[in-house]
Amino acid sequence: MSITSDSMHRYEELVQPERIHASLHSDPQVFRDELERIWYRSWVYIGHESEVPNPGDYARKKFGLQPVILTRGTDGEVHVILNKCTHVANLVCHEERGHTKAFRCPYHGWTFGLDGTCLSLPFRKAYGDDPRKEERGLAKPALIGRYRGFVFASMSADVPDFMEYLGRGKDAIDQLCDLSPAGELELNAGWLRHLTRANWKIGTEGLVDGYHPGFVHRSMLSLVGTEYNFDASDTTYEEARVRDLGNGHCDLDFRPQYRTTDEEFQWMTGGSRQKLPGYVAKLEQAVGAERTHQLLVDGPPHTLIFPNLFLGELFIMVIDPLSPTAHVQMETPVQWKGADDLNLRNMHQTHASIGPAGMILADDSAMFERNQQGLKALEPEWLVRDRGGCRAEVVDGVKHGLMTDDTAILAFWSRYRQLMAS
Amino acid sequence: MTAATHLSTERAAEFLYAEARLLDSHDYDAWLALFDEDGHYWVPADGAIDPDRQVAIISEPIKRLRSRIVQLQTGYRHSQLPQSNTQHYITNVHVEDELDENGLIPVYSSYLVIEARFGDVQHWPGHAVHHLRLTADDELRIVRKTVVLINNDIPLPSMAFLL
Repeated sequence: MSITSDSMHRYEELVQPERIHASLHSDPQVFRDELERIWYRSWVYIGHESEVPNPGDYARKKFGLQPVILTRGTDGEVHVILNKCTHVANLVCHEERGHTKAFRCPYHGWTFGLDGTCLSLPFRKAYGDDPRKEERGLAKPALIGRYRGFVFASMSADVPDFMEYLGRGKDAIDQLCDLSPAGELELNAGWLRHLTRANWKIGTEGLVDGYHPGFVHRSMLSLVGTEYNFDASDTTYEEARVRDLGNGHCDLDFRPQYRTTDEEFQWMTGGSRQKLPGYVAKLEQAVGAERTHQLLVDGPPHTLIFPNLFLGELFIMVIDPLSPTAHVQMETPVQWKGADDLNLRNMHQTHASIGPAGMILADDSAMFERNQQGLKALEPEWLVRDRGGCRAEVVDGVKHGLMTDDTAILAFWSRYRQLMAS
Repeated sequence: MTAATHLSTERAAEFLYAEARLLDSHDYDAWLALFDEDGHYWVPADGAIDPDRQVAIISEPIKRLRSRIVQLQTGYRHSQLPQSNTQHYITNVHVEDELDENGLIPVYSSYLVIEARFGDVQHWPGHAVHHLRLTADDELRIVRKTVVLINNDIPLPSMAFLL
């Protein structure tokens, strides 16, 4: 009997130490279970505080499949509210982003504050003496967690403490934000929305796969020597490591490689002190010469924060699941507060690589979509994830592999298994 | 003072049709030769109006656009394996009455590209604005080409060919 013919999936059997069952990437029941057990029962990234900088600002976001609104209340507090009128379920907000005093449902005029509070019900006499407005506020997630502008939420209150969940993912957020002279990001460049007709986990695995670049991005490698420079493999990145950071978070850590030469800006083609004098001066003023040098050698992180936030060095990606066989990759170039010249360079450089026409990411999506097509073949039933298991090392409680190893991918699956089997 | 454009709609349309034919035949080298050396190609995203402050699907000076075409021609650009078959449909061509602030001729057109690739058909609807220069020997050159897709603020599939 096939392992997937049971009405209840046994996830502890479908995810094994060095292989996963192919049905995980296509089965509609698996997708429904993921919504219930991952997207609606653990911490999920929603958006960034800089997307709603002023009181009254709002931005529409997704929470799994659910429409939500990220808002900044009149009191300056950040809120996440479900975009569903408590009357007959109309969307209370249709603009992608904007500024408002309140959300007024266009259907029957119910009005809600930026924190979801029900403010008014037209023709209230029909509700009796007490319209019980306090019961009619917009729904909200059980918990909100914030760290350096990154806003996460959980639909369930039965989850680990936010900072415990974030764990070593915190270091990645620090690594990214510390490159700003003000220590903050400003994600205000707009979004590329890249529809990828593949399961969200196929795309997510690809983000921390250091094995593929020499093959998938061969056409980019051939441009080395032009204004583009891109390479990655065991031999060219001998010192870089792929790591399991715990809780499903994982990364490609380029710092050990960059530190071997101690050169600055290895993470940004064409970046240099000469080309970015304003930025470097401000960073030195803020954190001193020694720390600035270290930051500019180390560069930004290449880290997946489980399940849906990818700090992709010079851009940020949010994974938006749509169906068992499609997801959207939401991408924006990193913009660091107080770093105008760096931001302009990054804007022009990074959007060439990302999004639907990206010179890098379009080829990744091509692989993910071919993967989904290949999965229609029923054999082999199991997909191997066993690269590097023979050589992984544990350093200070963190499992390390070489660039082409499956260490980070397995970190994702380990957390996935834990949540899905519970 | 602005000056009149003095370009017939007919000539502008013929130019756009010829450009579209080069794109549909994947003759990107000949297509690039239509641009000025200081030319720029922009496909905005997310309703953007400023390529310096907002992310774009593509926003590139000619030098970088040339690298993109070299990438396509390597034979390893997987998002174009197999290659897209495209057909451009250009209508409503309108030469604006006056030159822009840089002395260029703005030409507006309705712009639709239908793409077939790998078993799927995709529509790419929008408008284009070509800012053209008339050279001393009476040739038209593209200085800026902007393609504004009407759906550039919703999820779009990969688009590794050029509009």
